[in-house]
Amino acid sequence: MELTNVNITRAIAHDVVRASQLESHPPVLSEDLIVLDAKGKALFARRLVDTVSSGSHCVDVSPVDISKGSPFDKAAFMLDASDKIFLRLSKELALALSTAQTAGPIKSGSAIFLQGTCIADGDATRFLAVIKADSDQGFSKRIRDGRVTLEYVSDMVLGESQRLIKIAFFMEEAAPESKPKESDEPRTSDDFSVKVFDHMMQNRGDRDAAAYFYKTFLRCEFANDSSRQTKKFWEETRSFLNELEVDKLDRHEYMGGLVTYMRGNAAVISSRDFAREVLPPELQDQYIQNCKKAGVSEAITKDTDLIRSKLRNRSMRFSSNVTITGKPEAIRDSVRILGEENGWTNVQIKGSIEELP
Amino acid sequence: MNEAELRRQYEARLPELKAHGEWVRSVILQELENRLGSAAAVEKFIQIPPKPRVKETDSFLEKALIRKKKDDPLSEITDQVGVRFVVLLLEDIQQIGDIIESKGWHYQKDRDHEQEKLTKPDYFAYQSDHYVIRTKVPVEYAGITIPIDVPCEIQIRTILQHAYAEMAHKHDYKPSLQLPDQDQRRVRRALAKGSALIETTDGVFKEIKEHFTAYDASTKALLVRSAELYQELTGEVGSPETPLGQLLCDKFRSLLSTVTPVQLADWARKRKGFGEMLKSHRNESVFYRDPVVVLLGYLILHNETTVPRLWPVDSTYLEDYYGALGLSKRALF
Repeated sequence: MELTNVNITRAIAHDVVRASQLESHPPVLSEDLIVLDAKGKALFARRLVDTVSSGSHCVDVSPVDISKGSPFDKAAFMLDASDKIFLRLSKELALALSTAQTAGPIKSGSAIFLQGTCIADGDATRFLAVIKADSDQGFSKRIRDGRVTLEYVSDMVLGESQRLIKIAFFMEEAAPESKPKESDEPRTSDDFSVKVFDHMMQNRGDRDAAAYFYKTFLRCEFANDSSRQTKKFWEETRSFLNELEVDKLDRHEYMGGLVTYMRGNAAVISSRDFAREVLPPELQDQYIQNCKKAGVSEAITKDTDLIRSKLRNRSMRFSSNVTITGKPEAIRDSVRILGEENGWTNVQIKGSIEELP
Repeated sequence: MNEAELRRQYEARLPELKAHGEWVRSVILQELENRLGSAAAVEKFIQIPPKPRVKETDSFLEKALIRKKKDDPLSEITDQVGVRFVVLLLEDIQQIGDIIESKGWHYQKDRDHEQEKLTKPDYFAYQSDHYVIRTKVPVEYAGITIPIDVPCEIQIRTILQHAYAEMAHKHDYKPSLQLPDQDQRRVRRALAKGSALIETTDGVFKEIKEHFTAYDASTKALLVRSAELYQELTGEVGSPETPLGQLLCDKFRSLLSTVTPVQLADWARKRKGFGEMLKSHRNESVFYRDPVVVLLGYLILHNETTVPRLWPVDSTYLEDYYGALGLSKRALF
């Protein structure tokens, strides 16, 4: 999704703590909207683009609970709420986030709520972003009288590091016919697309640690077409590599790279990552553009269910009907193609023959 | 006329000849400046600063009385004073020729290298354009009156033709250099080869120039279109040729061939909110006031990994622009 012309119209921040601290250190809940100057708005917009827009690692989720009073219902209604209700709902959500922060390496921090307008893939729309921002430490640099001083800052938020940010982005796909009231039935999940960015989602090993945000707090699940999207990504990439006008050996290397990439530990895959990890610089943009046209340029929650058999083994079939098959890693590490000569391909295989049936 | 009398008359006119040469040079350089737009452009155009040269008295006498005997040598010997213009390309010769032919003095083209190529297609030797001009009315220059009908020879050549001429002049026509016939023939053959090579190289230079001209034209067309679109989108006028624009075109040369002005316009007009975005950023920095941002936006969205690699200046603005275009800068900067 390409997010441009982001304009923040309302913002508020609250303190969040770990669930166990709720009673001993109750979080500070703000009573006022934040007044932002142009630079502050621009920085918020940039952080949103970096984490949610094209090339980011945010993934689609779908709300499981859209009942009255659910996080989805509150977030959706905040778009049309008066400042007073906006404030109250943001406090309720901030508390819900604190409550969800039970286990694992979770820090206290801030819950920031941003309402705004933007153009998403060419359509003007509204959004509500819920940001969990961990505090960072740093220095504030000052130059005075020809001297550079660094002042310690203990509680900085929304710096450059994406490790310290989690975002739920509720984007309105269909506007309500008339201004909703709080007593109305909740809006449907079709009215919104919901995206989540959480660096803990990037790696399969950290998935459980990420669950408190998207699952416990937001009551969402990964979008259920992940396996289909993963398959499409695989197919588009393969056909791109097959049509590429490059040396056979290079193609062989990229194909190997694709299998390794798909079998890797990343829980989120994307065209930009594949390009960077596997392709040489001169092919990266061509590939990314190709994926854009094919509709597989966004980050995808990896689910290899539908291509499992293709990833299990890698084979090389020769025109003489000979096939070399092996685990992708074994092919990558132990088979070398040295080139072709007089209709023969010189292949080097590490190890000695163990079995001759 | 005897030698003493001719010497007296020739020496008497030396100041006039000198003034004539200087006047002709200044007239041509001035007109060149008018046509090229600036003195700096003229300096680039002319490869060796022209210096009027008056023929030594003895050299004149030798030519007038021995080598090329004339009835009226003071009028008939045309190279009593000469000015040489050395330029880079064959087409530049034409440019100076045009000026000479437009100045209202009497002119006559004694040598035309293009014409010689056609009349003697198998012959390779010294090449240069020679004009002889004579004033139709007396001219006052630097306090001296140049009478009518005094000849001044103007030579025009490319720098390669000049190099050849210098070489050939040194060895081919030097009377003191007495070589055996066999060797003389070899030298002549070598000179002919050199002349052919020079002509070939001048042709190659012409081709190179044509490529550059085509490239410059396409780059310029993109910058002009970018500025038109910028105005269309923001309502603000900006120059198409800014230092940043030139710098980027230089750096992104390899990417520019992938976009035409039509594609650029099509893309920019279809892009929702593009004009509003540019307008809202205009006050932030001079970067967004440069019309090249339209072209840059296209290049970024079609080459997101290459643009940062080639970016020639501090990347702060580029990172900001990525954000404004809706591209996450994750893994790129």
